[in-house]
This record gives sequence, C-alpha cells and structure tokens, in this order.
Amino acid sequence: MTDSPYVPRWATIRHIRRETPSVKRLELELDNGQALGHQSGQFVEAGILGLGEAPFSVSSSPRRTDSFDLVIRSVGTVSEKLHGLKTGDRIGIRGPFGHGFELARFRNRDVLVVASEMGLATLRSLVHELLEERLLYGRLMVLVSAPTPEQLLFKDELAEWTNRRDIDFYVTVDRALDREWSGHIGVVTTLFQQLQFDPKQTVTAISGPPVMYKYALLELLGRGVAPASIFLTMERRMRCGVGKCGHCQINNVYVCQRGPVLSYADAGKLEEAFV
Amino acid sequence: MSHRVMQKEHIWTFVENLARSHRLVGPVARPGNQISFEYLDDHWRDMVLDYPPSQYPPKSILFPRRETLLTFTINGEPPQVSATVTAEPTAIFGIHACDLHGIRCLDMVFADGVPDPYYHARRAAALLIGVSCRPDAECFCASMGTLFPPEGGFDLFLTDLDTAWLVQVGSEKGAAALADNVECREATAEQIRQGQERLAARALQQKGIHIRVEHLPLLFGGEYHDPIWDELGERCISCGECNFVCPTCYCFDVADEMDPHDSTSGRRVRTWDACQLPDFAVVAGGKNYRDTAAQRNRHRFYRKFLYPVLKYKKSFCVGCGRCVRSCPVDIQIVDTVNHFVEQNLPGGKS
Ligand SMILES: Cc1cc2nc3c(=O)[nH]c(=O)nc-3n(C[C@H](O)[C@H](O)[C@H](O)COP(=O)(O)OP(=O)(O)OC[C@H]3O[C@@H](n4cnc5c(N)ncnc54)[C@H](O)[C@@H]3O)c2cc1C
Ligand code: SF4
Ligand code: SF4
Ligand code: FES
Repeated sequence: MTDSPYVPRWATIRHIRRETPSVKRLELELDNGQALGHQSGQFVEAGILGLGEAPFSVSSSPRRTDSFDLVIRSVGTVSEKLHGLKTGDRIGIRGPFGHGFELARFRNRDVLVVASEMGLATLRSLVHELLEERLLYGRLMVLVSAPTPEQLLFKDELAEWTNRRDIDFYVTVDRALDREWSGHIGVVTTLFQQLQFDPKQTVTAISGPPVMYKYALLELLGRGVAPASIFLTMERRMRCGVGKCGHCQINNVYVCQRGPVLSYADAGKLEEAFV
Repeated sequence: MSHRVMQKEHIWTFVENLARSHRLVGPVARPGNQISFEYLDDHWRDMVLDYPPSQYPPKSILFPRRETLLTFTINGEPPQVSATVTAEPTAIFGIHACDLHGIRCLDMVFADGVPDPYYHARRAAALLIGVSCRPDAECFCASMGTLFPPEGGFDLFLTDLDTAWLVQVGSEKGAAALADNVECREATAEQIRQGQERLAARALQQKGIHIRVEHLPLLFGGEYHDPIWDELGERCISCGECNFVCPTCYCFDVADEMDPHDSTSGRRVRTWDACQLPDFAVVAGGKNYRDTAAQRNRHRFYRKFLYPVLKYKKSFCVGCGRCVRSCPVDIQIVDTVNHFVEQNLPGGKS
C-alpha cells in the first residue's frame, strides 16, 4: 500500500471566466484526458503546491467528461491564488470526494432546487444533469438568489433557464438599485410565496449560506415535504477529504465522506448540523 | 497465544539483540518526574520498565506530531510530487496495556475507508512490546476494560513476576523476535495465573467510571444538553493539551511549506490538531461551528465515549488519565461520566 491519498492529479486551466467581482469559473482538463468521474454534489480538493488546498464543488455535469468546472470565490490563501492563475496553468486536484445527489431518488418526482449565493456553484452540476435527462423527472423548479444582481453567478445560463419552458425558474436578489434590476427583491425564501407545488411529489436540493437553511427548512417542512425528500449540501472546514483529519465532523458524521450532500432525515438528527 | 518466561537478567540482552535489527524506542525518565518515549538506539540502557504513565503516549512514533506527506519541486511542468511513505523496523518497548488499546484505536481509524499509508507503513514495521504498569491516582483503565493488553494488538507483553518476566506472545512477529533471541522457558500454569493476578491487582486502588463500557452509548445519548458542559466550558482555557496527550486523538491539519533555502521545492506536512482549540471548526466567512469551549468539551467527550463506541464498538477513552494530569484547570473525565451515571441511575451501577 504505497498509493498516497494525498498525491494530486494535475489539471490544466483551459478557460477562465469572471462570474462576479469576487468569483471566477475555471474550466479544467485533467492530464491525459482522464475524466474526473464525479457525481453531482461531490467536491474536490484543489491545491497549489507551496500554498495548500481547499475544497470546491465540482460545478459541471458528470456527463461532461472532457473537462470540469470549479467556481471559486476569492476569500483566502488558496482561492486568491487560484484567481491569479492564467489559462494553461496547472493545479493539483484530489478527489472527487464524498457522496453527491442520489438521482435515483429524484426520478419521476418533481424537483425543487434552491440555490443561494455560492450554493448555485454547488447545485449547477445537478441542474445540468437533470436537464440532460429531463424526461426522467416531473416538474423542475429552480429558485436562485444572490445579495445583489452583480453577484448572480452564471448570468448567461440564468437567462437561458428563464426562457426554457421545461423549468419553472425564479430569481431574486436581496437588494438592488432600480436601474439595475427589475425583478424580484427579497431573500430566497420569499420566492416560495409565488410557488405552488405538491409536497408529496417533490424532492428538493438546497445549497447556500447556513442562515438560509433554517428558513428554507421551515418553509419546506411547513408545507409537508418529507425530511427524506430534502437534500442539503453541508459546508465544513476540510483538510484531508478522506475521513481522518476530523475537521469536517458534524457530531459523528464526517461530511467529507457521508456528505457533503445529506438528507434532512439524516442531518436533522445531528445537533451540530444547523447551529 | 503462548506464554514464556524470561530470566530477569536476560532482559537487557534481549533488548540489545533487538536493537541490532530494529530502531529502539522506549520509556526514559526525564527531569520533573516525566517519563517520555524516545528513540534510544544505543542508549537502550536508559530505559525504565517499571514506571507510572508517561506524559505523552507512544502514539507519536506511529503518528508523528509533524510528518511530511509529500515532497515536491515546482520548477518543472508538471511539478514533481512524491509521497514520502517510509518506515524502518522499530521496536517500541515498554508500552502499557492502556496505550496498546490506544494503538488499537488508531489502527481502526487509519484503516477505515481510505486507508492511511503513512500510518500503515510505520505500524507494519513496528514491533509492539508491552509491559505491566504502575498505575497512579488518575488511572482508571480497569473500568474502561483496558487493564489487560488487547487481543491481537501487541507482539509481546511482559509482566513482572519479581524474579522473572512472564512473556505473553501476541503474534507471529512477537514469537519470531523472541525465538531468535534469549533463552526462554515455557510458562507454567501457575506462572500464567500469577501474571494475570498481577495485572488484575492493579485495579484495586483505582477509581473508575460507574458504568459498563457497552452501556456508554445509552448514557451519552441523553446528556447533550446537560448544564455540565457549560460548567466545563467556563473553566476550560481551550489549550488543546487534553487532545495532544491522548493516545486515541488523531485529528490533524495539513499545510504546505517551502524550503527556506530553495524557492522551488517544498513539502506538504501534517501536524496534530486539537478539537479543543478555538478555531478548529471555523469555515470561510468566519463562522465557527463549535464557537464555545462548552461545545468543544462536549465534542471531545462524545468522541471518546459515544461516536467510536457506535462505529468501532470500542471506547476511545482507554482510561490512561493523561488528559486529567495535563489539564491546567483540572477538568475531570471520570467525575464527569459519573455525574451522568448518577443522574441516570441514582446510587447504582449498570
Ligand atoms: C464541500 C465544500 C464545497 C465547497 N465548494 C465551494 C465552491 O464551489 N466554491 C467556493 O468558492 N468555495 C467552496 N467551498 C468553500 C471553500 O472551500 C472555502 O472558502 C475555503 O476556505 C477556501 O480556502 P482558502 O485557502 O482560499 O481560504 P482560507 O485561507 O482557508 O480562508 C478562508 C476564510 O476562512 C476563515 N478561516 C480560515 N482559517 C481560519 C482560522 N484558522 N481561524 C479563523 N478563521 C479562519 C477566514 O474567515 C478566511 O477568510 C466549499 C467548501 C466545502 C466544504
Ligand atoms: S480521554 Fe483522557 S483518560 Fe481517556 S484515553 Fe484520552 S487522555 Fe486518556
Ligand atoms: S487540557 Fe483542560 S483546559 Fe486545556 S483544552 Fe483540555 S479541558 Fe480545556
Ligand atoms: S475533511 Fe478530513 S475528516 Fe473530513
């Protein structure tokens, strides 16, 4: 046993796109044309030798095998450095790690996706995958929010989703100036008021900042969505990705292994999940 | 498993012979009455075999406080990275039964899921030689079920019979180490019984938790919101020492370092981390998922007495008492558990 789980694979940056003033999307290609082999909802550790690593969701569909996207907000050591890289530069990738969305549990059901702020980076892979096999699912409802219009991710794709007839798409911002935004204003949960859905028939996927979870859960549980039909992505500090370093634990659950996607039936039992 | 008997005076020949084929680690006395496990090599004569619990367990030999995971050079494309999985045959001499149980816990953790090759390599190259202990006032191994060495978790175990050493052979590797070495005789039934008695006698002066280890999950299931966590949290100064001295704590941090004399080469290192340190669970944006010392204390207790018992069917507290000895504010582990026992089973034992 000499294979170290800490040795990265190499990926080359093929394309860089600025999403917002603090967020960039990197399109990456693994050396030797390898596929990353991820599920929607899984994450990788992206690293720069000499600086370290940080966990990032894989933001592209598992069916896109020739390259994958990481969508990175610049907040600290690794993410700032990743923002400074150019097309052609290489980064280290470990993973994919953890458990993503179990799509078998979404089939033939209506799907409600709730993505707030960076949560859309995490849920974009799921939305893409659902769209790629659209006929296997019932209604597809997508709610997206950001603090300001400027901070909305994937603006080109959001415009496309608005026009698609097979998505019930809603978008909101917390605040905006009149001249820059004519759409809905309010936090993501205010979109629920516009939305009618059958709670028994609906599976939901939620990702966003911790405060959003409390309100979204109140809405969903209040309407009668079963805890086992609510899936959330959990963010914790992560250092190893392989269930050893202890940083990602929520009570007895290693998020890097059992998560980052957990059902509310599981997460709701964990005292430390929504503190 | 067989039992042999070694003449008292042969022990040093045994050690000397082992040192020819192994690096040797053992307990030595340091100023301030501290016992510490150190690489001895040719200083093996400094080893003490009758000693109270060491300040730190021998954990660091298998899972070093700081170790290099990868070395790399970044001047080429792609950068060159190599994993530094290395280990040399090492005899760890004089491990107490509780610490052998601690190693057993680490064995399970590092083999679980994605195995850790670094730990595995050192563990595979290690010869674990246990020795009967001299408990002190903080020991409570008897109540944790760690008074005797763990089945399958050691190579040799020596029990002091005054005039001779009773040598319990725990593995093939142990048998081989003994066979090529000093003269031993087969132990008599009487000597084996004496050895057992010696170990069992150590339980008599000990304090203990008032509940059976198997029942701990029942106890801790209901104590999540007990006010005692706030009491402990008010006193705890979050120094993390209780984690660092614990034979079963294994959390770590991973960070990169560049070589100070060469800006193109560096290493990825892991270092022990501690869930009692304030920023252990801080994420981007500054949110701390265990913001108070009360929450962190509770997490430590749950990680000893509940979570691993559910997962591995083994308590990750092995009753060594080190966290109590080293705590600057005297946070007591046995008293805390017994407070819960008293609350649930007033006046009784389970
Ligand atoms: C499963 C998962 C998926 C994720 N997906 C994405 C994604 O798709 N896109 C994305 O942008 N982010 C994502 N993140 C978050 C991302 O991993 C963090 O933002 C990460 O911290 C970035 O690393 P860094 O080195 O750039 O920042 P760091 O240097 O680690 O610092 C980030 C922030 O963390 C805090 N912090 C770090 N260490 C300490 C400390 N010792 N004490 C106090 N505060 C500290 C600070 O507030 C600091 O501003 C994800 C996280 C997880 C767990
Ligand atoms: S919790 Fe304390 S007494 Fe128990 S094994 Fe760890 S250091 Fe020893
Ligand atoms: S040793 Fe004592 S004071 Fe230090 S973190 Fe542990 S319980 Fe708190
Ligand atoms: S990230 Fe290390 S245990 Fe989960």
